Order: sequence, then structure tokens, then C-alpha cells
Amino acid sequence: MKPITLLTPGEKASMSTYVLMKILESAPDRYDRGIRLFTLGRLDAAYDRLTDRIRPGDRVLDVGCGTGALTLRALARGGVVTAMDISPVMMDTARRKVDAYRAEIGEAGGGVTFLEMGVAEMDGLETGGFDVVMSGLCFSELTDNEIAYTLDHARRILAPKGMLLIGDEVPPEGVLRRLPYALFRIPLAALTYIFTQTTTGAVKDLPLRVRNAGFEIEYARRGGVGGFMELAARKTG
Amino acid sequence: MFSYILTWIVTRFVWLLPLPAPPCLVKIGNPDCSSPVLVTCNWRLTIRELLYRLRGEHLYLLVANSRGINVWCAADGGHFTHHDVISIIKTSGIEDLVDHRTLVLPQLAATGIDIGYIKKKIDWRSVWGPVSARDIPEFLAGDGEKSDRMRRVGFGLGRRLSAAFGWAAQLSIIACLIFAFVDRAAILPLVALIFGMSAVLFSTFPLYERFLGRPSRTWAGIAVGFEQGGIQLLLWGLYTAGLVGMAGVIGDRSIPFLLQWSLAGLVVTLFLTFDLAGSTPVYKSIEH
Repeated sequence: MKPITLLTPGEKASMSTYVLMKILESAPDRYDRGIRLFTLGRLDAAYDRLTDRIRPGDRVLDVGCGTGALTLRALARGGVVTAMDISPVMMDTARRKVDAYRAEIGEAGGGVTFLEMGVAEMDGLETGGFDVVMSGLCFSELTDNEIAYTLDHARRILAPKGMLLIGDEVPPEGVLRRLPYALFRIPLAALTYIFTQTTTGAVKDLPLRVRNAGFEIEYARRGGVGGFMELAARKTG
Repeated sequence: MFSYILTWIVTRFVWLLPLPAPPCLVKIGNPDCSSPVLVTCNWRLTIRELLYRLRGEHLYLLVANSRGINVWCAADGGHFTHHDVISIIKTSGIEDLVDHRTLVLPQLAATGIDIGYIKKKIDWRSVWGPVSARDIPEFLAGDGEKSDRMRRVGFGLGRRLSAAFGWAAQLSIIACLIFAFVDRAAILPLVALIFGMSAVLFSTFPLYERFLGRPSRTWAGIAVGFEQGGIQLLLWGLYTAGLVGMAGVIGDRSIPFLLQWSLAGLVVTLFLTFDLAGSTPVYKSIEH
């Protein structure tokens, strides 16, 4: 029999407390309410802390913008935002929110450009073209290879000393935290799968991956029972 | 072959659950820079079948992320799209291994993949392969020519019985878990009922296939139409008639016995038929 070679390392399927996000994604208009309810508003606070680092005029890329939670915050801080996602339905919701926000405050401040594209198309973005790359609850939907690819291109497209901001689900540290976490997630993952035939996976070793991609971590904070991480890192070199 | 059979058996018991393999690039044989590049989903059974069917070939197989679902259901459900194809091309390193830019995509993924988008974004040309993995060697040998058989989706007796076994196996597991605490003596007859109903439902599929998916004005069509609940009533009615007959043979025609097992038959029928559309490749669900 001819040799068969696997060329890339494997990944294990894992479950997530944000699996319910997949149910909510199927109805984008309910997504924000659902996430706010599910996280008891803590996700808003985490996103606020992350985007506080954006300065007026910063060129910002929102990877996996979804319904625009991070996009709107970056816009409110004066960023010039490029928001990308593969779901046109989610982006429509983001677009409506941006339009409503701009109708309220006027046309002053930065702008938003929406791009329907996946992370694998980031190689088409301009080198050094952004001051900030941010992502919220997107990495947990990517494969290991996609995460590595995204981090590599995030570093490439960031200007020198550019900032990487990530808020995503991570496995809690320690067995005592992981066990109740897993017990809580199993029924949620089953329920989500019944409704959407999909699930998400907590991002393992996020800080290590970010460091290995050529970033220096300036801030990292775990939330809840340790299953969510806010991370701010700066491009080195 | 053994691993394929083992995977097949396992998937019968987890039919409704995803069984993802890691997205990756697989070298089959000794491919070179001009070897074909095929794309498939990351449902383990599909990959096992492809590894079995393609032994002796020399090609690259890109296992794209379909969330562990088979290619047809994933594409139809929006879980396997051109974005996933672009992703595996970009992240696998295949572009450094071949000097052509042609992909062979699974025919049954056509509902989810926009090959024009792939061409526009990454300049890879896509061709649709045959429906069945067993036809891939002939397809490749014929430079991509497809016979009528390669284009046709079938639901032959073998596949029907496979679907029947899958449904029956999973329902039986659930039934055993419940009845282990309720009435252990009922487990064996209940499992027999589930397997029997499932076998009848799927093996007789050609008899009622033409009434499916199309609202009918004829009495025959209404009687067996799924939308009207006809096929479920017919199946349950036949079962109940058989139950009464069997009760006479074993000498227990008590009302509680008949009611209990008639109700069991109704529940089993409803479970087996609630996603019949998703279990066959020829009866499209109303969503699609």
C-alpha cells in the first residue's frame, strides 16, 4: 500500500461555554441580546477595556466582526475601521448599527468599511496597513491552522508597534476549574448542536501562540471562571 | 479496509453527531507538482472511504473544515462553503507543492460552494468530481470526464439499509438508557421494534419515493405524503395491525398490552420519520 502522510498536526475538538453563540448567530438580531444575557454583561465590559487602547485616527481591522460589537466601539473612539466577516447576514446587522450610530452622532469621526471575507483571505490586505487588529469571539471558531495563519498575517499587516487585541474563549486553568466548566458546557454544546449542527472550541495556549507569532503581551486578563481572556499585545521588531 | 469498516460501524452509532478529523493535507501515494488536488470534508467516514478508494493513486487530498459533517449535509446547511475551501488551500501549503491551480471538488458540495468566488479570490480553477468516491479513479483516469452514473445521486438498497441501521442503532441506545430504569424486560422487544420499523421504512422507500416532497391532490398521494403525515400513519397502521395479529398468536390481547405497544410503535415511527428528508440523498428537506 502506498504511503499516506498527514502533513499538519491534528487538533482535538473541544467544547465551549460560548457554544450558545452559535444558536444566536442563526438569528443575528437576537445575537447581541443573547450574548449580553448569557455573559451577564461582562463581555461588554471586556470589549470596553480592550478598545480603550484605540486612539483617534487609528486604522483598525476587526477580524470576524459579527454584529459589530468591537467595530462600533472602535468607531466611537475615532478609529478608521475595516470590518471583515464571512457572514453577510451578521454584517448586515453590524452595518445597520453603524448607520444608526452615525445618524445619531453625525458623520464626524472615523469610518467603517465592511468586507465579506474569511481569515484565509487576509493575505490580500496591505502590509503595515493597520495600527490595530482586533478580534472578539472569532478565534474560537477557527482551526489551529487558521489561527496560526491569522496571527502571522495580523503581524504582517500591522504597522511597527501595532496593537493586537483579542477577546475570546480559553480553557480555564487547573483541573478544579476545568471539571465544572466541562460539566456545564457538555449539555450546552449538545443543545447548540441540535439547533445549529455546529459548535465552537476554546482557544488553547492563546498567549503562547500570540508570543510565538511575534508579539509582546502587554495585558492579559481572565474573566468569569477563567474561561474568557482579554489580551492586548504589541508587535515586536 | 479494516479502519474503514471500523469507522463505518462507529458512525452508525453516532449518526447524528459530528465526527471531525483535523483539517489537513494528505499525501496519497507519491504525488508530485502536477498531481491532482482533491478537496473533501472532515467527516471521518468520508476520509476513511477516500483513503480506501484512492489507494494506488498519486494525489493530494485537502481535508477542509466542514465541522465534522458529511459534505452534502454540510454544504446544504451552510457549514461547508467556498471560504472553507479557500482556507484549506491557504493554510495547508498546497500552493508550494503543485505548479497548477486546479481543484477537484465533491459534486455534492455544489449547493454550498461558489467556484466563481474561489477563482476570483485566489485564482484556483475548480471542477466538480463524481458523486461517489468509488468513481474518482475512473474520473481521474478519464481526465475529468463524467459518465451519467458519476453525476447521479442514488439511494440504493445498501445505502438505505445503512441509513436504517444508523437510525435504529442510535434510537436503540436512547431507548436502552431510558428503559434500563423503567422496565428492563421491555428493552429487547423495543430494540427489535426499532430495528424492524427502520428496516421497513427504508427498504420500502422506492415504493413511496415519488409521493415525497410534492403536495398531492390524489388520494394515494395524500395517503402517503409526508407533509400530510400519511406515511407515518400508514406505517403505524400496518404495525398496529401486525401487533394485534401477533397478540392473538401469543395469547395476550389485553388492552393495556396493545395500547402500550401501539403507543411505542407510534413514538418509534415519529422518531424515525421526523428527519427522513435528511437521511436520504434524494428527498430534499423543505429548507433546501
